[in-house]
Amino acid sequence: MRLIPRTRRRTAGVRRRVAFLLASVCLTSIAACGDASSTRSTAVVPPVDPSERSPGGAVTVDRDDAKAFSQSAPALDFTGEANFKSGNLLFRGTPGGLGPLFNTQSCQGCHNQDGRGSPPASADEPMISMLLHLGIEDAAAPGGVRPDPIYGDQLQPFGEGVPGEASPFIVVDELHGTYPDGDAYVLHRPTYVIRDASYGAFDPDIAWSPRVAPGMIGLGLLEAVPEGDILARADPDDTDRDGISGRPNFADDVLLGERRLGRFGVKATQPSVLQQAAGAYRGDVGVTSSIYPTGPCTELQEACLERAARDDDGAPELADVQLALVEFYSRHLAVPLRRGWDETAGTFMADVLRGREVFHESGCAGCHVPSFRTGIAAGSLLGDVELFEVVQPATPLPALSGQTIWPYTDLLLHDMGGACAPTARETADGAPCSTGADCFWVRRCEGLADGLAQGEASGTEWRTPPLWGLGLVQVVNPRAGFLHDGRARSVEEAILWHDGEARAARERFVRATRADRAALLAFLGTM
Amino acid sequence: MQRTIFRSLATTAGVLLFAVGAHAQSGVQFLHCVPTAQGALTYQCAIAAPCTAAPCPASQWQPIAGTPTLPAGFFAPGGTRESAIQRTPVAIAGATYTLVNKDVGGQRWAIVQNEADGIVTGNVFPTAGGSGVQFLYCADASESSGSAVFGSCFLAAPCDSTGCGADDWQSIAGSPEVAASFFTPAAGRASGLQLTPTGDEILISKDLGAQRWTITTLAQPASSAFPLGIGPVFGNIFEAPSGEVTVENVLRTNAAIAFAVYSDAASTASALHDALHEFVDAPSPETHAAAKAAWIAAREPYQQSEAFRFQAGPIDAVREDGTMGEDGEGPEGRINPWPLGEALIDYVAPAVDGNAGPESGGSVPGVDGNIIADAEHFPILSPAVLAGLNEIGGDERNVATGYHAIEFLLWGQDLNADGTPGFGNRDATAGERPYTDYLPEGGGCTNGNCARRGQYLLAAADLLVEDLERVAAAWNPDGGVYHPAFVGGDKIALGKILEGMGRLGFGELAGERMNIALVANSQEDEHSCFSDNTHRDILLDALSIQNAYLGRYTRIDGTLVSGPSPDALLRAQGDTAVADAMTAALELTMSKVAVIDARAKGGVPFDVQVQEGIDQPDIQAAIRALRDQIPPLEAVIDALDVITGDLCQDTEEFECD
Repeated sequence: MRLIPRTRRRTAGVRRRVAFLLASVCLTSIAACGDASSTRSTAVVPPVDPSERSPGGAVTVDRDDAKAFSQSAPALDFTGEANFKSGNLLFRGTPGGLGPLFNTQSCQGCHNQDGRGSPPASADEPMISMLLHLGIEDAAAPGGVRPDPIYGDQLQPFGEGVPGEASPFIVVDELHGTYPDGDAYVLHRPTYVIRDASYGAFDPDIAWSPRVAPGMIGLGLLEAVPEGDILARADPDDTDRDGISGRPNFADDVLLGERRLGRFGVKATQPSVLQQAAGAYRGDVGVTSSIYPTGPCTELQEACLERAARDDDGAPELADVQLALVEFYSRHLAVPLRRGWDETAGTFMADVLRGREVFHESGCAGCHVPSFRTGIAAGSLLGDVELFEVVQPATPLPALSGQTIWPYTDLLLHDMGGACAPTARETADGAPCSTGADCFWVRRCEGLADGLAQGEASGTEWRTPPLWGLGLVQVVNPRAGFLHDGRARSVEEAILWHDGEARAARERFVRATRADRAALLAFLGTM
Repeated sequence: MQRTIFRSLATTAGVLLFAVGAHAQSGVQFLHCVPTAQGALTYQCAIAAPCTAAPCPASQWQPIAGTPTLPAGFFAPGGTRESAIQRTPVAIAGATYTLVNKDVGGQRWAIVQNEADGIVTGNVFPTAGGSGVQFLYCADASESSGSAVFGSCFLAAPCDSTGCGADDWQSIAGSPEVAASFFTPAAGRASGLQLTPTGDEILISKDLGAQRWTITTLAQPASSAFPLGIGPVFGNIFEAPSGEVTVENVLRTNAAIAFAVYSDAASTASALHDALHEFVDAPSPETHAAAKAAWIAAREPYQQSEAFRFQAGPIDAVREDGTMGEDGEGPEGRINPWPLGEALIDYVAPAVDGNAGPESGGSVPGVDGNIIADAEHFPILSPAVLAGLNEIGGDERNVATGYHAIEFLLWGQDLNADGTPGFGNRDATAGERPYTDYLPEGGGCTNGNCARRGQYLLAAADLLVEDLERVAAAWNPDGGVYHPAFVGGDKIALGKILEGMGRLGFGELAGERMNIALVANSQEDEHSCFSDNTHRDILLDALSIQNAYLGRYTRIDGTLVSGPSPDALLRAQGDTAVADAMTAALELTMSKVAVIDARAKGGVPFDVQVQEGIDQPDIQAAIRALRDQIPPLEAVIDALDVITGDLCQDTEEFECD
């Protein structure tokens, strides 16, 4: 099979529009809530707990190189290690049954060395380790959003034996801003454009949400945090009036047939690592499983359906044992040990400690909740891997259970501000158009909004991402960016994009002294 | 031939000399053989256990029935550094001696032959595997406060095939001093000394530091400190696991195996390199076949080394500069990585498992098409360039170096029965790359870029040899960077041996290399998918695990490296049941992988065996057997009270940070 990148060489490269912002605050803020006052938060800075140095508890490894995110939990026995390694091989390899439509050919293809993906470096590079989630607002549909009738809920630019769906690319605007102390910064604001739609026009009300592949570390630990401990922090109506709401997302657990707390995905739309993995196999790689038995083709994509039918033997393309191995692997990827630790003092180094204070004083910990303790990590819903098959009942996973962890997330949804204009049809020169190969679909958003609800999450809400591993993201993948679509080239830029509920915290960062800003970044760099 | 003869000697000698298995606590035996005729290689022999107290009466010697024969050439120069001869640089008391240090039938023979009368004396002990042999000659012995001081000492490496010469000997600076106890009888069977029946020579076999000294000294007038006397000393010194079953000697055996197996891997890779040169220089069906045969031969020792993986040893941690780094810094990732990113390297059929996408050149940033075709970005294909391309983009799938890169460039893709690639019905043939892929461009070159394909092949071979030599060097008992830390690593190092066995057997072999290919029915996940040599990979990996446990390895030249083993250690401490269970589990595995091997040799390669049908149970049985090795291994780990797991946390022996 051949990769069919629908990307053609364009004469014009990435066009950069430059917007000079006069105010020190760079972003047009449409804060749904939040107190933008720059006064210091009253947050108390907790004393350093020695366990902070090992963010994954016993699932922590002392690695800070390009393989830092690819290590197994140290406590695995020979059997656990065998499952981990087999899962790793499946994670890396191209599965049987790839496609017909897909975003990439393997898990590793997006989760580069188990770390974050990256947006294409230019408009000519295919979009491989990020994707566009599609939807159309429709009050009558469940959750208020329905998929595109032709393209479904995800754009797959590649096809095996069939054309890829379309070629998305990014146009970057530079946003120039200045800190109150005069330091300048530049943010890249992406606009997502789709061209070469192979299967006909999108629905006129089409919307999309760009997502870069997140890092894989510590997922099993996050899954093992007791649901009640997460829900206890939810404050949907901001009754404590701290400007931060925190809403849980909920999702159907396909195997259990019940609604559970969503934990995974940029909008917390998946309740488990297992279901997240099965969803990615189906959506991103085009591989069916017992959890998602139907392939990526919609009913209107006849060529895709025909291609899929050719190899269909009625069984899921991915056997349960394979899926369980990938799940096991994904749950046991360890978290790197924190750097910046002073062995003799038994605490963090001075600048890191100061950064830690800034973190708490600025209110970052309101959403990036530092610590949880895992409960009993249940075994796979599919059962225990027993060589060639899965068998019930599943045994709990001791390596992940009862660990004090420091993920710096509350796993809840927060309004991060921004807004999107309706999707427009434009030519490469920005002129309005309505049809034809040179008539692109263009979606412009301000701030972090994607304007597309998913489950309980609105078009401005995102799940707080964990911060562990943050300082090694670009060691593992030098091209990786931060935030849901990888637009931020650095942690500093990511902070500057915070808005909505996080606006007050961002403002405190912006108004902090140069030394304190550096200290905060140093602190985050030790993650 | 040599071994057959000594087997017969063993038979004649009876239990005393030779029936000492690896399981028993056993020790040195001294040998004294007189030729039956002038210049004959047939002897009348006697043997003796170490002497425990002066004056070491001749009655301790027991004659051996029959007249054993040594093979022709036994005293001739040549052989390897581990098994060789040397001559004393000068006549000693009127005679020149041939010093011999050879492995014979699993035993180390450290003997000397008086060239004047042909009499052979020396010692034999059941633990071969000593390596890094050096020969010693010391003169001008004198006594000084209970020590022997030698006015001059010389060391020589073994003679090469051109012969022995006095200029082989290098003087040792100073006046070496050896404690008197070295030359006096003492209790103990694992090492000791004996006086020859004639009373003319003292035969000594003792450990001094990390070395085994097997030397002879001429008995001179005795003194209180030297009841047997002391005179000129000659003999040999080598790194040797002694027969005594101790943790350290188990480690020494294991290290000796490591050095031997990686040395074999390096030398066969070097032979492969030469065969590839001949192929690329003059492509023909014959040179092509010879290159493929050399690749197959090179795999045999390498796969038997794999139990040394997964223990942060040199294969996983030795750096480019030869120093030990962290786990993962070693060259393993470019020696034996798989599945290969074949589409990144060279042309492939339009569709193949794992072809398209980021691993294919077309979508790897900086590569147009594939590396061989992309002369613009990669004008030179050198070992360094290839090393830089492996895992290009930080992507583990972009495997571009090592055995399997060479395999792909020799065999090409192993297509299905209908000629299609990918998930389909496979046939019994391996890849069928034509030799014409290497003919001159314009002179019959097929598939383009033939010259560059040849460059790639040779550069990959260069890199492989360099990497393997570096790994072997780290294990060299004679100055290897890792050897001292390992043999001094006590139970932590012992744990590494067991950890390597467990992790290779279950996670790597049963899991990744067999079960995934089976459950995913994926040829891409077959270890040697181009050559259809996977049955050997499997059998030899299993064998390497068994070898680690039994403390043995048969080198490519047929010599056996062996010595005290984890198995012997268990038995010595009375854990016979644990040892029996482990031995049985390993034997069961060998019987199961042998079925895969036999079926493949019978025309049903592994990739066909994993397809649905009657052969899958054979694969499943081997996987089960490998899994079933784990509980006994865990019992071994418990019984030996060793630490496995995160090996870096509990020791300073190994520099993990």
